[in-house]
Amino acid sequence: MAAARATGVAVVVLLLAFLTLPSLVVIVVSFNPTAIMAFPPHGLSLRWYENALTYPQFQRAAVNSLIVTAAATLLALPIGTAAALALVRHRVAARAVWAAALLSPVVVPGVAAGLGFLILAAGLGLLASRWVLIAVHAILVLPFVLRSVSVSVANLDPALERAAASLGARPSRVFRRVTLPLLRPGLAAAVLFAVIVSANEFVVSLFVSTRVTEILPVAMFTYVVNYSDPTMAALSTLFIAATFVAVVAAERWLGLSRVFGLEGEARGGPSR
Amino acid sequence: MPGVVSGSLIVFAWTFSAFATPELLGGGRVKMIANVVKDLALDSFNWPGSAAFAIVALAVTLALVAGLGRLLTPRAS
Repeated sequence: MAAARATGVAVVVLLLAFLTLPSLVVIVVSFNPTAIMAFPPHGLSLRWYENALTYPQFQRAAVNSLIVTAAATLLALPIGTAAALALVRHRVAARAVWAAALLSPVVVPGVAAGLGFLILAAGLGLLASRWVLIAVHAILVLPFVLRSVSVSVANLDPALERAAASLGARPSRVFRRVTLPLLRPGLAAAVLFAVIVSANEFVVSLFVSTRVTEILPVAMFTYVVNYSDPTMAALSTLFIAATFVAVVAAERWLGLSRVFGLEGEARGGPSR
Repeated sequence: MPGVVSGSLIVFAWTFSAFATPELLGGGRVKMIANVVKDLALDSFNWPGSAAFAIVALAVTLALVAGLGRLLTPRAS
């Protein structure tokens, strides 16, 4: 019995190691002083961080990433929220079809979507435009926005809105003062997901970006194909750290687990 | 058991269209379907050929997802 338990623990530890070791290796290699990715490194150096942060194409791509992610999030948030309200609240015709269509970007292989957008953008003569990238990212993050906001909509008691309306509030005022504040956990999670998905999106972006409009993950891919020094490890470490901080902060201040209904109604319904 | 089957299907669908990992780890020699799509589209500018491979990837993935949906729907319906 004890032996079986010890084996189980060992398997779990090995699995966790298997999942986290690649990231740890990347972090350790990023401090390598030499251009060869030696492991373990012979000393410590921040030169690859300097190289990563001063490489012009990375700087340009980082600015592009910020623009694309911000614009795509701002575009997907109202669309996803409207879709969530419509699909959860109302009897929409062909609702299953709408839901499937809106969630399909998660399922469609990146290369298939990328090629489709490439051919479409070429047909429209928009290949060099940043707007293609923004539209593509908005579509790709839409399922995540829809899912997170849907959970909040499902937990929202329509009686609260009816109460506001019966007290004389116009629909627009009900929406601004009652609906939106109550949807806040879902909206916050939606923004977080949208930003993480968009900032890490690579395959589809590779198809529809040019050297001028390309976002950071695409620039990183191009770099790693052409050079093999620890610059990429340094930049990846920064990416890992940023994502880690974002998720921890979200859990701490927004209560991610609450948004996912992991704690459900245990806290006594909507807080605040 | 349904959980095991659906988990396997998701992993298969996910990995089937993997791009970045085989591209980087395969060193350009080990090609999976996603890498062929990218090579044909972006390096050879053979969009129709690339689209054919992309449709195959899409069809396999959608078939798996459809099978998954059927599997997870209660029998009674």
